[in-house]
Amino acid sequence: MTVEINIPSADEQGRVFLTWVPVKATARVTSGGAGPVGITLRSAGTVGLVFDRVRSDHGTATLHLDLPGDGTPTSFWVAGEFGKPSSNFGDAAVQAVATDGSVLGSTAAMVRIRKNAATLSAPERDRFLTAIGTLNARGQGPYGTFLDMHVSRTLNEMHGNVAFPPWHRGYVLDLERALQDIDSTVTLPYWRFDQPAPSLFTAAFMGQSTNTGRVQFTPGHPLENWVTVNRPGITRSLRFRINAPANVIDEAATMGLGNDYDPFQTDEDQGFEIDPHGTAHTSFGGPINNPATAVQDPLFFMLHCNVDRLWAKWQWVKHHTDANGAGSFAPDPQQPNRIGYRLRDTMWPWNGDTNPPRPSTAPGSGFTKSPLTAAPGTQPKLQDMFDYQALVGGDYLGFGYDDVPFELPAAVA
Amino acid sequence: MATPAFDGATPIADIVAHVDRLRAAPALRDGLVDLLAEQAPLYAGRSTVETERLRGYLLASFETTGLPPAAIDYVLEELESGLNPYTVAAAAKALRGASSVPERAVALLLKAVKSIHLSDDRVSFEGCCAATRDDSSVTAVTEVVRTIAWLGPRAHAAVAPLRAMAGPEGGGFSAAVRAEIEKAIAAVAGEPMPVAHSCCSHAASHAASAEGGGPGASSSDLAALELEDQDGSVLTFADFPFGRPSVVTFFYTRCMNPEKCSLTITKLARLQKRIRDEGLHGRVNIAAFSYDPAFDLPRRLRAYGSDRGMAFDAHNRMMRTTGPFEPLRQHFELGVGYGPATVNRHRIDLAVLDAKGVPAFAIARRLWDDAEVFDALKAAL
Amino acid sequence: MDVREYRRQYEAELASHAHTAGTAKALGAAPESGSGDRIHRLLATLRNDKEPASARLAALDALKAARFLTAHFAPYNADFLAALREIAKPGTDPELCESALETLALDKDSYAQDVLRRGLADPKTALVSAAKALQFLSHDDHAGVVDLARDIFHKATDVGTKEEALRVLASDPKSADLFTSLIKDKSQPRSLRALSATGLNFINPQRFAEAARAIATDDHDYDDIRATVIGALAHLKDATHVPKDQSFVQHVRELAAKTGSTPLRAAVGRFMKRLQE
Repeated sequence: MTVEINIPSADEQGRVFLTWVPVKATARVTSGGAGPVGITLRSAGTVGLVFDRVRSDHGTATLHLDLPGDGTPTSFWVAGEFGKPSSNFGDAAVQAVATDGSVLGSTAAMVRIRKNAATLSAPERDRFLTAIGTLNARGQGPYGTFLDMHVSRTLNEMHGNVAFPPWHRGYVLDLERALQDIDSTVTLPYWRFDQPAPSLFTAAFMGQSTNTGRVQFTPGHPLENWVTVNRPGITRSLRFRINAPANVIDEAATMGLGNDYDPFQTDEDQGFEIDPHGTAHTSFGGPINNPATAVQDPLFFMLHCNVDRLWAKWQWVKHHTDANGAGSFAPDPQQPNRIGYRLRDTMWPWNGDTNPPRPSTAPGSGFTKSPLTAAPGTQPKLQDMFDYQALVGGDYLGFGYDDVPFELPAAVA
Repeated sequence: MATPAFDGATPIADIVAHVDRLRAAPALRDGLVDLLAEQAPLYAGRSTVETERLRGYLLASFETTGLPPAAIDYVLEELESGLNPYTVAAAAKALRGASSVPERAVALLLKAVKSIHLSDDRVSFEGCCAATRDDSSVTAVTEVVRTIAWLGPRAHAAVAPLRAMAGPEGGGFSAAVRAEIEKAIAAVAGEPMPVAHSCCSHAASHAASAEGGGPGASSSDLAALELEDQDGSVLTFADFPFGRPSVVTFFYTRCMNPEKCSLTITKLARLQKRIRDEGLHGRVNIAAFSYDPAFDLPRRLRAYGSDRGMAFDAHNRMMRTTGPFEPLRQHFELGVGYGPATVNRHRIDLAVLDAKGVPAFAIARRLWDDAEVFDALKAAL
Repeated sequence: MDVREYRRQYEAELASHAHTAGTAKALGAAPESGSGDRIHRLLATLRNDKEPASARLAALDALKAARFLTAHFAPYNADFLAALREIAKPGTDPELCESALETLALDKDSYAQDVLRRGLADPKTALVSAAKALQFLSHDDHAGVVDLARDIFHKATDVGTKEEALRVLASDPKSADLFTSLIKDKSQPRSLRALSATGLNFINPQRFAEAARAIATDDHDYDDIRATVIGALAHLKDATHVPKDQSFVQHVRELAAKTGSTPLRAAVGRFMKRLQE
């Protein structure tokens, strides 16, 4: 007797990718069954999975199902076990086991989660570096499009206003999906800038700075031929000791910036966008410390992955995942009616809008799609970026952080 | 006064001294216009920053000498697509020397404010060409707003936009600039007066002369000019299927003004879409040539075009010359100058050629929209 | 892990951190009545040469962080740029001067370019090292300093300055001959050969592929430069130029087996993977 496990969360090669967000799956008897068949679903592999009959945030390591003998599928929900992300594809697997202990079916998977860059294994690090080096392709790859989205003419779309967190969440996710088009097993790692990360600033990873601020890599490194704005190489010098945090407030202080979006994001003097975001940028010499040139350095995306993680953590801690919930968002204090700063507005450049006050060009051709989820669509709105785990509705965005759990609101759980 | 034989090695001080002499003798102001062309020898080999400083100083001089009709398009161009606060401010000052102001000047001045207000900088035109460290000088945005104020009721259309800028949602202006905006509102809010209708300049878009030019009548030099397209295919200028109406324009991938080349190629992609949608694909050509052929190798051309939505085939190409660019520059009378390694400044240039390769429509020195070019292309069919 | 227990633990950690105790770096005095006052105070500190350099540097950092809020900062941008130009002069603390010049150079500021260029032409007037001056000027590929960089490359004696000169020269297609000769010259420092490889790969991928082939198959050349060129071939977007003939591929494959160099093996692995795609 065999059991087929179908988890509709797969790439074009049919490889299953999961996050902390439960995905609805099915199991069915494909041969040899007569009458109801009792099976146990369990996690096999080094990485844990959790199961439940309903969408919940308290799945268990095993789940008993009675499958009809006629092959009718039976639903269940599966997710990665929080705190145990994968390192490679296949280190997680779902098994269907008979009462006698025999394995009736199995599906390999990966719990694909954004991780602290300082914790990556060498293979994980190298897969990421190869993917982003390929995306750059000596300055002639799609990375150039991402660069064009974040230059002096475009900064007003996403800086110094309430769109800052959701726009950058979209930006980081768009790039991550472009990396996953190259290698599905890759996620964007985050640079946890309020902790020392000496392994990050080495020749094997994001480069070691010489005393002139030129970044050196090991010979043959995927970023050795990095090119942006028609210049080869990366310029970056650390303005903090390599064994110390960057010049930012720590995570606890970030969580304390405000219980609501106003003032968390809107405070012009001490809001999230100034510190730790702005101060993370200005912890360096080099293009990364200037908003119009920051994307020339690929470290930008790891910096912003952490910025997004902090926003996600704040959303979780303060129960502000629902964009329309009280305190989750606030109208822009200076320009509450400006297009692009309102929840219902689609976001430039993915909406292709080049009418003033938007910039005159819109790089790219719509938001990158994912085989795992239909969200957020090719022209996402600001509000589509808030509930990235679909806690209150809709589809999830297909990413998660190693230290931000999936927790349903009390009203939904 | 004859224009001295300036070149790229001429000390800045000598050029400035000449400009100052012309400033002091307004009857000689046409001599300043001669120095504005991008390909003028005095810019050859200079950096972009130095070129812009010189041009800015020249433009600002017209406030004193009066603005000759031949210079108006240079001024409007800078207001429309310029991003350097110094040269934009200079253009705004130049307009105050006009005896007759073109109708579109008001809209362009308002656009200029939006273009530079996030990168506003102190500017001074007392001497040239180091950036000012003088605390007492005004900012570029102030100069533009003062020109709007100078127009008075002729700029009545600016009242609402100025009020929006000064309002709570205006965003991004210092107290000093806000004060200037308020003054401008007061100045323009009177009974509306027409801006002069006589454009008084050579048209920046025109039915091009039928004399000469165009690949159908090209010299043997041009016909034999070797080109390479975005796929590495080699052809001569004579090979390109000019038996069809064609849009010909110019760009380079390291253009530092996204309102010029990046926008040009983006608009070409939109034009392509319209051509396809209206069933004209294969009946017309689109050709974009690089000003920077040594750098813009095929893969670079393709990446730049694809990133902006261009599709490529035998009728839609981005090309570079494999030899000298000069025959193209001369034939199309392009406005482009070069520094030591690349372009230092260029104007927007676009032509629509008829099936014989004769220019039927041309745009120089202003932004174009795909609809007007499409109409010209269709008219040439 | 139970998520509710995780929340309880995390909230307890947050509660035990005082907000001010968690601040790793002070931003300056607490704001008074709003953003404008704070920016003005920071600008005043930045301009005040009686303030200690550390305070002025902290003010500059805070202003640069604030500058990310573009529309909020716009009213002060002109004053900020003027302040930076005031600082970029002899007698200013070197670190502050350098930071000011870098900020201006990233903006492609004409004053900064003039100052940097003068310093390169006459080192007695230089406010930063030649290497830094070239690096800052390289932020504008229209700065027109390729001839100066070429001259400095040939005259400089320190590798750092030569490296920065090569980066500037990578914007000029006429540098292909220089890059080709440097790549092939085993007596050159590794960093210069690697930068030349990158530069040639950038301006003339076809010539780079030819040079890379020669180096990769030269068993008397250094493993690190072979790793660099093979790694570059692995990332060449235009596969037309990548040598794919059997003898070359076999030679490269054998390198991985023979070499003790981890980077070379890794580069070969990436190259082989690229060929399969």
